[in-house]
Amino acid sequence: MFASGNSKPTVGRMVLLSALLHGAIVLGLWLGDVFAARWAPAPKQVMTARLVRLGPARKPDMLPTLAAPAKPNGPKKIAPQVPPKPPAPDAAAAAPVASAPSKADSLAARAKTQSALERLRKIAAGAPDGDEAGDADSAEAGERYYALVKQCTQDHWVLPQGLSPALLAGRKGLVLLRIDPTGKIINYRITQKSGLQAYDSAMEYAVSLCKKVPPPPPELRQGLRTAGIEINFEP
Amino acid sequence: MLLPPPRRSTFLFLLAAIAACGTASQAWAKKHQPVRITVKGAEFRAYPVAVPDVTAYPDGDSRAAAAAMTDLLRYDVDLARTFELVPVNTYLADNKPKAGPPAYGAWQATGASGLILGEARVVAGQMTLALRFDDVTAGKTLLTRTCSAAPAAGARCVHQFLDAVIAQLTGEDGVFSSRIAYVRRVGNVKAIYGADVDGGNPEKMVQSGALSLLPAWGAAGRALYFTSYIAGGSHLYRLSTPTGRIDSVSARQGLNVGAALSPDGRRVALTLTVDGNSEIYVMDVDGKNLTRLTNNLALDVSPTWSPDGKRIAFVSNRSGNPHIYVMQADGSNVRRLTFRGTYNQEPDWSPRADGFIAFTARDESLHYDLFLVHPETSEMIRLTQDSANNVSPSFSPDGQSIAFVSDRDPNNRGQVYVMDADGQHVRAISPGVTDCETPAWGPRLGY
Repeated sequence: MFASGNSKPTVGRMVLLSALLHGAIVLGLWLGDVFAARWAPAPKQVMTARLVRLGPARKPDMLPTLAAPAKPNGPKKIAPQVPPKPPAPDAAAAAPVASAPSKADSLAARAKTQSALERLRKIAAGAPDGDEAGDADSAEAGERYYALVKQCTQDHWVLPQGLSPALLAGRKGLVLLRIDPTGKIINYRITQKSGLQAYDSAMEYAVSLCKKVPPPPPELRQGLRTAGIEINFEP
Repeated sequence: MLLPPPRRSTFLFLLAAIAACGTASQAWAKKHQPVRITVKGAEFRAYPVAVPDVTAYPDGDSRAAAAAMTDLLRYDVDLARTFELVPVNTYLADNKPKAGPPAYGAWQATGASGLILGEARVVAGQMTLALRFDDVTAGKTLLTRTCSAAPAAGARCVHQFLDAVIAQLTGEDGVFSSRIAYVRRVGNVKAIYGADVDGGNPEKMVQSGALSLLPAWGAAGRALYFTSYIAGGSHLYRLSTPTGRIDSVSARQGLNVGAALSPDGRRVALTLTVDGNSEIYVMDVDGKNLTRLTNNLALDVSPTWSPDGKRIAFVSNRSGNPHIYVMQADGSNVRRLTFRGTYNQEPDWSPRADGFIAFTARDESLHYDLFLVHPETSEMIRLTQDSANNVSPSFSPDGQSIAFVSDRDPNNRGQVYVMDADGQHVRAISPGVTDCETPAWGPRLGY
């Protein structure tokens, strides 16, 4: 297909072309390095880590020193609540009755079953996500949910510094809020003022920042939407 | 035609129905009462306030006045411990003043809980300053004030407004109406000056050319007690701040120094050497009914009253080194308070019922720093460190701030500074005013 007169230098041309291409790539990489070094931002000052040697202990009659300032805490986060696992089905309840017993046998069997059920209930008391210090065998879904709402507002419960303890002693205020089935706070209002403007503003602030909580359990939805939750804010 | 009287059975049925309805409604109400939960343990933080530019009428004088009032508002909001100034560079473009209600949502996005808006207008040399404080969270105006004054006197308007805002928020007045007196050396003479808590309106208070030291405010700020050599000796005088009149209070032989007024303003505690040694005495504000409280071969100086007027803290070197002691106001039950350090002096008792006593101490590096000591437990807290020398603490009337003198700025030694009572937010109240001593933070003067 090729003219016989042009085939001989083809290999040489290919080698030359390859060499040029490779050379161009290498050159490009080298030039890129050079320009990047020129335009790259100046490196930050290198920090030197030093370990201070242990000095003499401070005598107890010497004046105190200022402690190193603590690092600021990051924004508070509400830990995601793992939904409780459904309780394991009663093993005794699943056990089939082998045969039709007599009446006396039935009564005895029933008593035996019931005592077995009782033992199982005691073993199942508590929850995998319970607390070591918990003293309740279980918590209703409502109690868990109210704790979530409390945690949400607790995180934003901030009062102006400088309020004297005498001014705060015994002070409290109430805010009523309603929650829709999706967990959105529909509205809120102060139902009992604290008598201090900053305190009232702080209560509203805490609730306003808690815009949404997890959807309530079905048995609470109606009540939360109509009657709502009343939060008692104390200093 | 009259209806026949109801039968007894009908009557009883109606009663039962009413009772049933009442019970049912009670049960319904109980079922539909909101659940109550309690949230406690608030975190305490400064109240963030945004201060956009004060608007001005379109003339040069109004614009200048508005700019000055903007700067003063921002400085004073930043100074007040109750507030935290939201940085100006976080204000969004659409937060610029315009007609209609503020964009509260946008302000809330900057982190502000409060918003101060103002308008200034100067006509014939008189400024009308309208100020307003809005609650950003609630989306409503809480306070408005309009003040008319010469532009140079605009600070009074700002101070009065901010004190009112603080009172509205916290139930306790702010301290912007108070003044800080201090000694300043000008040339070879030390005289007593006074300034606003933000350093504004400085003035020489005692016009006498004689050496004047150790100012101490009288009750309600209508008098200033000080030691001076007007008559040649170290005598105690009283300046009437409304009239400028100076009266001699105590000219007893020797030193008459370090006056401290009791909280009720009726008695003065001071140091006299009339009996041959530095001792603490108490007398009436007119100098009569002198009572000696200490009787010790050591030097007993620098009295300061507890907020209830029942105790006095002072400095004594009866243990060998100067330390802080406390005694009953009649001189009984003397108890040593500080046991750390070797040179503790200049105590000032906080006006708060639960407050500490601030004092100056020299540490092992021979620098002077400020500390707090609890009057019951002797717990000690350090307020300053590694900032050259910091001396002569004086509590604000609300006990939340402390004025003191420091030479931390090597180019401006001896400036008067103000900081929070926990040692934070230190700033010079009068930058460039140097060679100052013994500041005394006075009571609220009102408006």
